[in-house]
Amino acid sequence: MKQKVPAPTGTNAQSGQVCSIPRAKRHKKSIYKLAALLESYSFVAPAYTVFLVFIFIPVAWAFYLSLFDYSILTVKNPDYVGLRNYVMLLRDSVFRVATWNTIRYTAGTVPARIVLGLAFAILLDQKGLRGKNLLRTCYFLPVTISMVAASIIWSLVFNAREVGLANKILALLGMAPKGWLADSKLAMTAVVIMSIWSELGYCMTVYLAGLQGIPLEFYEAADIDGASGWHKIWCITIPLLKPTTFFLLVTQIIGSFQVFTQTYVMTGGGPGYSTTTLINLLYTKGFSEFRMGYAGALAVVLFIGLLLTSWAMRRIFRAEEIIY
Amino acid sequence: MSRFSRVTRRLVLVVVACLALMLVAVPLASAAKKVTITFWQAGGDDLSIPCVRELVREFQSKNPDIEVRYQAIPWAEDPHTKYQAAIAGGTVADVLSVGSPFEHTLAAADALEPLDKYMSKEMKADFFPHLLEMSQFKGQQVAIPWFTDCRALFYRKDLLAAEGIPEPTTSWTWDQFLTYAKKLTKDLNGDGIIDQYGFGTSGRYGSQWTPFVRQNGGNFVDEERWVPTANDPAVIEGLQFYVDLIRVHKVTPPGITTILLNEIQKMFAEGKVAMFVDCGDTANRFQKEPQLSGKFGVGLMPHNKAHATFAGADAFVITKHSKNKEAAWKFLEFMVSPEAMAKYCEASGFLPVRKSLGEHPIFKDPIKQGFIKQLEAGVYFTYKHPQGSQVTDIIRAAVQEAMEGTKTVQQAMNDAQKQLQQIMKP
Repeated sequence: MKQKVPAPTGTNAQSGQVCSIPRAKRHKKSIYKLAALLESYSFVAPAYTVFLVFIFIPVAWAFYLSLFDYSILTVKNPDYVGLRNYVMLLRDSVFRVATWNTIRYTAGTVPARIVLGLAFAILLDQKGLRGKNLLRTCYFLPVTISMVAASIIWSLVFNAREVGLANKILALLGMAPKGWLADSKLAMTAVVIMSIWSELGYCMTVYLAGLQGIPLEFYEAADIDGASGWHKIWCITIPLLKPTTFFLLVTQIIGSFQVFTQTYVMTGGGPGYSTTTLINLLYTKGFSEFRMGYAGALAVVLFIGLLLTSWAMRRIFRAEEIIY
Repeated sequence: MSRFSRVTRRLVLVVVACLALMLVAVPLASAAKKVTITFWQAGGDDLSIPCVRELVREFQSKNPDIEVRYQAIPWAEDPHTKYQAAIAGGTVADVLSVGSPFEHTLAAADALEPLDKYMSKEMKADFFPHLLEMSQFKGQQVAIPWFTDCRALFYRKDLLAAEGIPEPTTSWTWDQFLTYAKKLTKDLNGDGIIDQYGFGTSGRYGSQWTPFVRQNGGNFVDEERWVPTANDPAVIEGLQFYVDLIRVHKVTPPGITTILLNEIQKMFAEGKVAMFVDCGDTANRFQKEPQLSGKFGVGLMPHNKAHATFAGADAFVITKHSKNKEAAWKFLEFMVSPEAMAKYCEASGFLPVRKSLGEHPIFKDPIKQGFIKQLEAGVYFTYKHPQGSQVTDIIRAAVQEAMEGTKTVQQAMNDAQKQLQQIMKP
């Protein structure tokens, strides 16, 4: 993060040079540099203070808490238990189920959102398409609906009786009604369908922005070479959107690992543990059973998992600069 | 000295004089000022909150030296967690209302003022003893019950009458309950789809399935020794009866594992569910619905080896943090006085906890009588132990698996027993 600060990179780096300058001058220069440094730090201070107080300290505090048998009420003298919370967590069969559910959810939502988001973006970026802006707005609307409200709407859609929209569609196709959210085999699918719908507009919008950055010359050159529409998408659009895809992949995977509202509202984690995700489990442990230390350990494991995933993806995509 | 001009010196003098005046004046002013206490209520709805406001005003006019700041925190906003955060942060109110047995968690953290010294003998004797005992922590009275409430059987009078079924004003046996529930499950228009279900229930809430276990004399844990007993024959048998209602006799609407109670309430109001289990505030709301009032009744839960249904109570506590405990007690005493309690129970639909209110005319209404009879027949409370909610979470998942049929009742409870043994290890 520090490299972003538009300031001298520090006195140490230049100490070799500095040695040849007479002592008094050197002194004067280092004071000047210190002042410049202070000045630039004072510019970033407001933002960094907020970051420090609201993000960094709580994160570090969660690490610390995960080593204690801590509930909100025993804040003054919690028992130090070392890594016991972690050992218990790894032995907890519900934790394993929740991890698997979270992975299933991520595998179900992220690729679908990215593929569909790209498809919709390309379709809605056509020249001469009428009502383009209206359509874009419509597809983006679900993003603006509060997740709780959307979850309630979709639990009506997936109502287990014949009155639910999903079962009505099945009836039109001549199929028997299904339990959806009340069926442990289908509940996660139902949640995934709802979640794809709710975030699709966001992915589409980011891709639309990415599409505007691709110069038209490439397509013109391809036209002269006689490339088909598919060819152009496959050989120009998709490769040049790689940075956008990388950005979406990382943010969407992180977001998917933190899924909570949908499962909390639509199924309460059930039936059984079939839709209990990691954050559902964390919430239950922390705020209904008041085992903050245990919940802290879970948060740390989730953090490490996400860190490794993001790092691995960076390696795969290898952040090559694309210059048009 | 010479460095300061005379003006500066004079200015300093004036400032010092002002400060001195303030030091004297502040305590004087505050002595004449009122004592302010804060009261946070857990829960409350559009019917009960105006009533509490009215009671607060009444208290203030009787005690002009005390000002009460009242705030209701809906259950949806998780008031218990907010209390804990406020206690940890030192900003908690003087008087709190809590959903029993949460006072035990607060008392275990030494956050509550013991109330024995404030209570007179006569006052103690007027409360139902089992409810007072509920709020005792290590022999000390840490909370005073405000109202109680139990789940009872709601039924549609019109649907029962159409089948010639007697109303459950005396408790049915399990066999009777099953026979009637089957009779009430019908395909009304002959299209092969059931449109009226005998019994609405949900796998989301412990208060829906646990009564059947307790009616069979079972309990998921031995509360005295705090050891799990989730796969005891009595538990299995009770749960089997409940699961069979869903899977074998099919007297319940589909989607039962995760259905929300308000959907069952809606189906009941539409006449698509003939019976379900709920509590006093729902009955209160139903009575105010023109198309429902008079069409439904509240009766007793069925029984097998015992009578049982889930009961709860809300209770008042005074926090250790409070700086005006005397004023806080005055307010608490007023809120649980028979007059105030009767007013609150009338507005909210809950039941009183003082014996002297048993004969009060507002509790003569047949709906209220249904709940009162059930209270007398037999009830159980949630686990007081701090691990209580953890136990309920594990049981909930197991029951849902059995309801869905992914495991048999025996398998699900064996697995739950193993999980419980892990967390309840001493």
